[in-house]
Amino acid sequence: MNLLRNSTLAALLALAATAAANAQVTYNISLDTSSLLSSSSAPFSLDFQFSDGSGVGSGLNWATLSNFQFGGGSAVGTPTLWGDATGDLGSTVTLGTSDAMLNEFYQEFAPGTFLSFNLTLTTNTPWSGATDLFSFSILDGSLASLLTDSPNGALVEVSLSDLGAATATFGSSDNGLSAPSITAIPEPATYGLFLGAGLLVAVVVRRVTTKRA
Amino acid sequence: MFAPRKLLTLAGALLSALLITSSPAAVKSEMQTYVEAMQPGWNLGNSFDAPGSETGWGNPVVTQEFIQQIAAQGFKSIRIPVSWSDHTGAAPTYTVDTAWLDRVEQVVNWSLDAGLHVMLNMHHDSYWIREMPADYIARYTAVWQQIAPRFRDHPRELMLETINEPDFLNVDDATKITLVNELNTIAYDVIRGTGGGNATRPIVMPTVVTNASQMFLDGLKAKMVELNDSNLIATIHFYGYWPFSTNIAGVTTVDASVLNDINTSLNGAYDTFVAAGIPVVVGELGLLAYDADINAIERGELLKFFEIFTATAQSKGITWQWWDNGKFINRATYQWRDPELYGYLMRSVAGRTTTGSTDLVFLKKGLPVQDTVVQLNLNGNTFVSLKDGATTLQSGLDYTLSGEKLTLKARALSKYATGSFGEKAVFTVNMTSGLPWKLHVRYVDTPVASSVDTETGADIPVPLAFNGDLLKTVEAKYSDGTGIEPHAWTSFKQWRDTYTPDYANNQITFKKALFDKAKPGLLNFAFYFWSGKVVRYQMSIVDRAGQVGTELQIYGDGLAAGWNDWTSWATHDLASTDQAHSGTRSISVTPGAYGAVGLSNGGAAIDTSIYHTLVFWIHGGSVGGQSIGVGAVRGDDWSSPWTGIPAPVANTWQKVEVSLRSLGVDGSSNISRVLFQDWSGGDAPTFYIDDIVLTTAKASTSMDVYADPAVNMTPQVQITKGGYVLNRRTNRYVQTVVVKNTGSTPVTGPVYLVLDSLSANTTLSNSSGKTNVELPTGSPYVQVTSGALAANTQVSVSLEFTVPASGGITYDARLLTDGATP
Repeated sequence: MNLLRNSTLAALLALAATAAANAQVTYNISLDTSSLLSSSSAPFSLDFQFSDGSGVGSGLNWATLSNFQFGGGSAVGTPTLWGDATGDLGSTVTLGTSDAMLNEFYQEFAPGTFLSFNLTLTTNTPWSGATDLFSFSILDGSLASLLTDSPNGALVEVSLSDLGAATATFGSSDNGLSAPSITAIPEPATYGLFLGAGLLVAVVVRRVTTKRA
Repeated sequence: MFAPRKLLTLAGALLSALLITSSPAAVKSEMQTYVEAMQPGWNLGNSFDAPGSETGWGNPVVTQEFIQQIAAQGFKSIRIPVSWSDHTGAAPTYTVDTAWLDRVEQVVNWSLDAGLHVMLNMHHDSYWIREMPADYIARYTAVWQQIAPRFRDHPRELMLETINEPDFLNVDDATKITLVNELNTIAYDVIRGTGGGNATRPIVMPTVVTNASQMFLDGLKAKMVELNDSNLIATIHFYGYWPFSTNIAGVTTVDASVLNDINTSLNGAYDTFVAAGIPVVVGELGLLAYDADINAIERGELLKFFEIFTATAQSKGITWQWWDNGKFINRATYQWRDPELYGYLMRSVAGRTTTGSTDLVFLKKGLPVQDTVVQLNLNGNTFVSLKDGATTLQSGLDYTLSGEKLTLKARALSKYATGSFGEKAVFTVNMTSGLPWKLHVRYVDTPVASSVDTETGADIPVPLAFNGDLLKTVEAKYSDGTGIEPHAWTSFKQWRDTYTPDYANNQITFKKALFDKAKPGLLNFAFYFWSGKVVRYQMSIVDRAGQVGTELQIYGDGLAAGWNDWTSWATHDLASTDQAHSGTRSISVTPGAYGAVGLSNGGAAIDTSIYHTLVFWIHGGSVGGQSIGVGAVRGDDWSSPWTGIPAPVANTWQKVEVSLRSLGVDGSSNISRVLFQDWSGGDAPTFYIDDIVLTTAKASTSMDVYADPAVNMTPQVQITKGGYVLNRRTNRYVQTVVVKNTGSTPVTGPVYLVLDSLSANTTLSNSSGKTNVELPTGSPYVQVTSGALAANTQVSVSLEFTVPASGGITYDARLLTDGATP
């Protein structure tokens, strides 16, 4: 009985600790891709990169991409993965930062009228003031990123630093793409998870106390 | 004593004499076998080659027990350098002192009795020979005519070397070859002419300066072939690639130039001599800077150097003899001061030892501990284990080994990234054969230098908290890009001659020589450390010309009130009217050896702390050229250093300024005496001194030095590096760096971001240029902003890197602000 009680308490405390360590933000990213339907630069690929600001592959953060909607288009073929990357456009894509230089996913897609997906990022503070950077690009048929004002060739960038998460979007001049919209999706706050875990702990303690009496 | 062996070896010599000198290496000659039996060898340096006596350079009297220890330590041969000039009489007989010859013979006999092959030579006589005095041939010949008969019937294990490092001044190389061969021939004829054992005694002949350049090798070989004698040995000396050997020009590792130097020298010696049947002895082996400072060459690089050299020499049948001037084997205890080096040297005879790309592993404060790769040079051995002290580490968990790539896992290192800085552990890579390769694990933080206000004219110590790091080299350059003497041809200065770290006292001392020819201006320094850190430092050097000070007179037309005559060992007159710089009188001095004129303050105590310079006028009398030293005494404390002054000129008054700092009394409140002493050591001609004062002005012969950590690294600017993103349009890795002025005042532009120590696997493709003024030079930079950076504002700059074939991109970010020019 004591073993069960201790195991349950430990698991709940671990849940609370995990909630604290793995604070995260979720965004919905969408853009009008109708201009790509008639482009001679096809085929196109969605390209996601997640870079480690420390330069050593700290693996402190990861990105999860899900709920892909292609507006009449579809994912095509199989993905190409570099470094800490898994998944495919048909389900979920996960990128970590454990490779010092390149954590990248790209896969061909057939554009529809729009593209929409969710991006969830953990926001662990990179050490030594470094900034982890998530970037989203669209590659053309030669696997070159579409021309944007971003030096990274990105349509969307999310940087993670001591100051939290910051977003930036860019349009593409050579294919008539407007800058994507990026909207934060409300998540349960960290203290909410703490509260939930705390309530569970209280229930267990109360139950144990009741049985002992 | 040695007769039985003598008979045997004599028989061998007669047999070998039948062989042709230029026999191929495939048929090993008796003389080649003889030389290989000398491996390894050792030099009894700085004893019998010292001036005056065998203790002239501080080494103790050589004992038979010491010689026996040399053999007991495993050495097979001993080279006994002997300088004969201090023990040689006048022309025409040039008689060698019999006692000296007896003493040399005694040590030779002790060595032979100990079972050693013995190389006896004529050593620093080459110093006077190179001047080519009119009688040098007669004198050289006469000395050999006395050495050769003395050793005529000694065992064959004694060989005679004609001359050490022969050179001739002011002649071209071809002439040098001719003149050195003339010396070789003279000694050869004299030795052979005495007959007996000398008829076939091995004779060792050097190239010009025992240098291994092909021209000099060929020059000697031509002479040896002409002599057609199978009992000749060629000799060269080897102290390594000079920049590496002295730690200058930034050559701090066994790089391609160092390896090329080893291979070129030994291949040349082998191809020229050994392959033609003439054995070779490297009569002196060492590294120049290491002789004087054990820290001058990094330990792992030093061990690698000697491992490679000895292995290469061994493979070519070339014997080496370690140069020991008394710094290596303690001649009182017979113990090696560097037993690790001794182990490497002795091991080399049996086979190769495994080494590594480095022997240093740095754990840096504030950074996560990472896996660390050391590339091993297995050298034919097989890995056995990796140990941390006595603990065997676990393969896979603590380390991995793939081929020669040893990866130390963070798991094995992390526990040492805490506490005090410095060496925390020594890992040993243990192999099936040879010595273990040591890995020194050090916990370090960025070294920190502090400010100093001082002056030229003496050594300049600078506080430098090493924080566990080790100094690699120092770069110095004026802000206009020009170099500083000595060795202005390179910005990387010479260890020991221009700077020395003092780890125990956390300071680096810049030697007086670095500033002897300094010019006013801003001198930029970069201190390079083995961890990869670079610390920048600046010295502002300011001329003092035109300074006017308040003076305290000591002697005008006579002694000032309160000052007394405190002279000894010198004929003098404090009221001489022979010469006068001002008024009608001066002090005349006619000193005997080291005689001095002293003036002491016998009156009321004077606070001398405000004075910086001793100024006086000196007249060389009718002769001039005297050697004079000046000193000052604090109270009764005579410990302050003296300094020499420029030689007075005949019939001329000259002003002399002596910095009180150079006399060790600057700021002293109780200077009680000033003294002027003969430093010639003999009777000196009369000179005159007049108008002696202490002045608050600083000596115009020195310059002020204001030294600070580099001010262009504005502390109020913060640099934040972003992650790398691969731009698939440009195929460049892009990194955004944010530069923020965190202070409350603007930073003057333009602002540059410099990438120091950029990893070699990439280049900065959007670089604006490379640093040429601010050290370290050669680093790529970009302009962050052309204007000022306002308080509490930030600006971003994108860096674009070529894609590395492998590995990450690393660099140290540096900001140049306040109008600094890259």
